[in-house]
Amino acid sequence: MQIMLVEDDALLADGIVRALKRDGFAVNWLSDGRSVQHSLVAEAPDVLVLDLGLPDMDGLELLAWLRSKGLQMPVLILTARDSTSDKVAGLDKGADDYLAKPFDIQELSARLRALERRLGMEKQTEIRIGAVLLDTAAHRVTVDGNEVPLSRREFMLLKALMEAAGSIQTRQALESKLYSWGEEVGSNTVEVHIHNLRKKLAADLIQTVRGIGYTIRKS
Amino acid sequence: MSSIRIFLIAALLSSITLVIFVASLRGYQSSMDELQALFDDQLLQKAELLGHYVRTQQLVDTVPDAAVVPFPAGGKSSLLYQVWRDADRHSVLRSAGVPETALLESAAGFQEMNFHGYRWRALVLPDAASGLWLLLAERDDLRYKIADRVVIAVLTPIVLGLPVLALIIWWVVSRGLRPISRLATELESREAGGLKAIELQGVPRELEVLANSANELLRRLEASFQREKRFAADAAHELRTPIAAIRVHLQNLVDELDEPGHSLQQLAEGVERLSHLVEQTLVLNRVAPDQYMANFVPLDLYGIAQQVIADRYPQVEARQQEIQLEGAATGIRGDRFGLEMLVLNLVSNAIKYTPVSGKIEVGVYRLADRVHLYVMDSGSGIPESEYQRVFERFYRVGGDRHNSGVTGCGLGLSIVQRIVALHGAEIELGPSRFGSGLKVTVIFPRDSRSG
Repeated sequence: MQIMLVEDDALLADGIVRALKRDGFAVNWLSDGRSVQHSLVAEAPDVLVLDLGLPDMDGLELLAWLRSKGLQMPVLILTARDSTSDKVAGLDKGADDYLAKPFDIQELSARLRALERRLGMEKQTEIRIGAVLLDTAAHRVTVDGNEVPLSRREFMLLKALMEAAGSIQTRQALESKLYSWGEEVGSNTVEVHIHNLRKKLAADLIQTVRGIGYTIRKS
Repeated sequence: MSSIRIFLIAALLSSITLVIFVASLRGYQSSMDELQALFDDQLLQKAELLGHYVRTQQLVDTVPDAAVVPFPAGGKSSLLYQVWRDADRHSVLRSAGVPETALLESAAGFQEMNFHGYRWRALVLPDAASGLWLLLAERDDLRYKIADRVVIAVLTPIVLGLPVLALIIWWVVSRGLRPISRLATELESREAGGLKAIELQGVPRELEVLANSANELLRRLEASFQREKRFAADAAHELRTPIAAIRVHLQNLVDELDEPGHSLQQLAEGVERLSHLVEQTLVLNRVAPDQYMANFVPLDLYGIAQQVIADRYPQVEARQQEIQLEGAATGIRGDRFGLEMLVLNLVSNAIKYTPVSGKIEVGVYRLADRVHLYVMDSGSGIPESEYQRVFERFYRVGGDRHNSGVTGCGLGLSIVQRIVALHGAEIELGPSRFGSGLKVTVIFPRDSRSG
């Protein structure tokens, strides 16, 4: 996947480029808004990683400009500003994700993978947690090599949890995911499907975090 | 403390009183002189009357004592007379109680004399026709009595009027000082609200200079606040970017080496600490009372706690701790950034100071109309004697390295306390229900309910 990194700090940009290349991304680095405007017209990347504090223009301005030009590639914002309003403004102006500095490079990589999956460009389609293997392309789940038949909703929930293994998915977040996939969501839909998943897979694979949501531990 | 009002009232009142008394004294003296002239004139007329009497009785210098016809009236005690012969100074006529010998020298004119224990104003005149000397005298004290009465009649209304005058002066001074107190109120209100300039309309000319200087000061203060705010924002950017760069390069180094050495791990921990300290300092600076313009809106504290815990969950999982959130959606009026930082710091502390496989419980509930938030852990807790000190900046229980082996910067609870104060809430420390560990409870005020 082709990534354009827009970051004015050379030291940071160098580190990010190096890390992302190692993770298998093709990265093109630019350090100011004007050169982004020139090169975007010539050749648009698949994903734009955008620092908000640029020397010649505001990152949010650049974002508004490229959306106004009809460029629809996912944009991930990097910023050193800490106000929540910046985050809201960024997402309002059409950013797809947001990461505050200083961030974990693995976190950036994971977020880019998620955007890659959304674009349907991922090469790696299998996620493995312990004995459970989920193939996002083939919509297939196996435990120790034996296929486990799952309903569409169960598959979607398991995929959401496995993709974000090690972190929590709140019930509301899972509900809104199901909803965004065009599913009918009742008041206890998520609970019922989690219950079924536990029966079909290992009972302790999906953990409940009381009051917060569900998680799958990284093996 | 000096008071312009008291000074003005006292100075005005005392100078007016002084002027009135000096003027009255002068008036008393001149009216005394007038009265004296008037009485002397009367005395002269009475003496002429006495002379006339002497002549009608055909008394002369040589009249023998036997021939003296007594003066018809016995004479009042306030008036006495004596008529004597020039040769032997023996009186031929006198009022009762007056001796036979002449009381005064035979010299014409007004003079003072003492007689019968009184001071007298006396007039001595020679009568040309008879060759006798006439003396007519009036008691002085009666004259003064009349003069006193006149002066008292003049002074009484003035003395009675002084309190009224004082009241009027007080009112006038207070009215005159009103623009000053208005200006003071205006300035006072600047402390709480913004730093906008004072409206110059209606400010008297004398205070305009003061108001202008105050406006100039406010403008500079505002500018310096803005500078400081911008500095904080710039510092955030300037510090975070290189720290982010160091972290990325460090991670790259770890990934590139087959076996990360001891020093590299220590370096990673140092960078982690530096990064944490910068973040906490920025937050502490951001919630400083004189800088922070809190934006109070209705929020769900339970939802905020849920989000914060979800964000921090990777750390909980890394330490294999068990965390749970109790309660239900709870509306509250508060500042979103502040409440997020409050929960974040309490939860981070709990994660840090609870050992591997420990328990953490967070709860949000409403009791007696007040919203309660608690964070409870199964760590080693804090001895009760340290409850106060933990809120001090950079203070860490048990010195720089906690016995849990966790490094921190000691700013977390200072941040918590500022946010608690910002919301008018109270914070309580106590033992946790897990047997060991700390329970921190934040109790929000009654009026912080939303809707």
